[in-house]
Amino acid sequence: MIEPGAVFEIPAALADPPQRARDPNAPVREHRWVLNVSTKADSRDRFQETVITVLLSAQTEYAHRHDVLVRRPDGGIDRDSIAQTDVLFMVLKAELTPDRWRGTVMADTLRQVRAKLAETLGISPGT
Amino acid sequence: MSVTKLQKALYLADLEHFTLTGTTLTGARWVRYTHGPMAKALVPSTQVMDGHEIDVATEPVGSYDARVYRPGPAPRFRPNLAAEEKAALDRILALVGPLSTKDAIALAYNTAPMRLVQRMEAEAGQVQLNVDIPFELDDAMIADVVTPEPVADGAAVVAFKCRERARIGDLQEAALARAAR
Repeated sequence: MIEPGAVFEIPAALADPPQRARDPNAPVREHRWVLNVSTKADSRDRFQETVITVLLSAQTEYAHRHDVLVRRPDGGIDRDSIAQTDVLFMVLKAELTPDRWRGTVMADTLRQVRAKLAETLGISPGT
Repeated sequence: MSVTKLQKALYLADLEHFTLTGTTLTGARWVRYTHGPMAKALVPSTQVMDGHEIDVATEPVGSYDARVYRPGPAPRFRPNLAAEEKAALDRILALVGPLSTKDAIALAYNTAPMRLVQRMEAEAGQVQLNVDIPFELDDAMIADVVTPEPVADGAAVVAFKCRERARIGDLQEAALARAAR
């Protein structure tokens, strides 16, 4: 299920301990949701160990110019969320197991995220 | 399925297929109407198919009457869809099928073409019915029109982003530590 636009729910075990050490006020979350923006080739290539993902957040009230609104239930999300194209990171495919897959966003939604990502990275015309 | 929800499902399926292949499924012209995208060709098409491929009935849905579409009793033809057409349609029907009409409308309004229409309406200061909904958009245009309206003040957004970025550091450190084991 690792394909462009796939959404995964990453467990707290991946995210929690060092974060608490650095930011004692960080909200406690059990999981984080990420959206794969890698190409189809990189998503499928067995010798490519990682994919590039953007972090999703249901705190849509903090949406700003780097974010794209993703409506529930697109991609299997259970709350409206923002895809944050300025919070971009790689994740090992080994961590993206089928039981963590929540769905795949519509092609238009992935295109919105990638277009916003191109703007964020400065590879969009005029940026 | 009500006619409004049917319109939204078809719009999303057309857009899904267009985004993946460059062509729509239906070839219909989509315009902005009261509840979002609408293909005017749908109404006469359903009249022609009523009693055969589909069964159209007016039924109570919630607190009002709505036209409801179901598979018909005597189909004269079967859809002959290519594999990628069926895949796009199935994907959208699985997504939209369980939704309320209101949620299906919200999904349609959040697509890039409808975001462009809403941007044009905001600039014009009024809703513009019957305008074409353009599917062919370049990435710079999409990035521009999908930018959300700010709700929180700048300082709150900065604090939020700081928390988010710190958390990403952890994800990477944990993943790399696992890979090194």
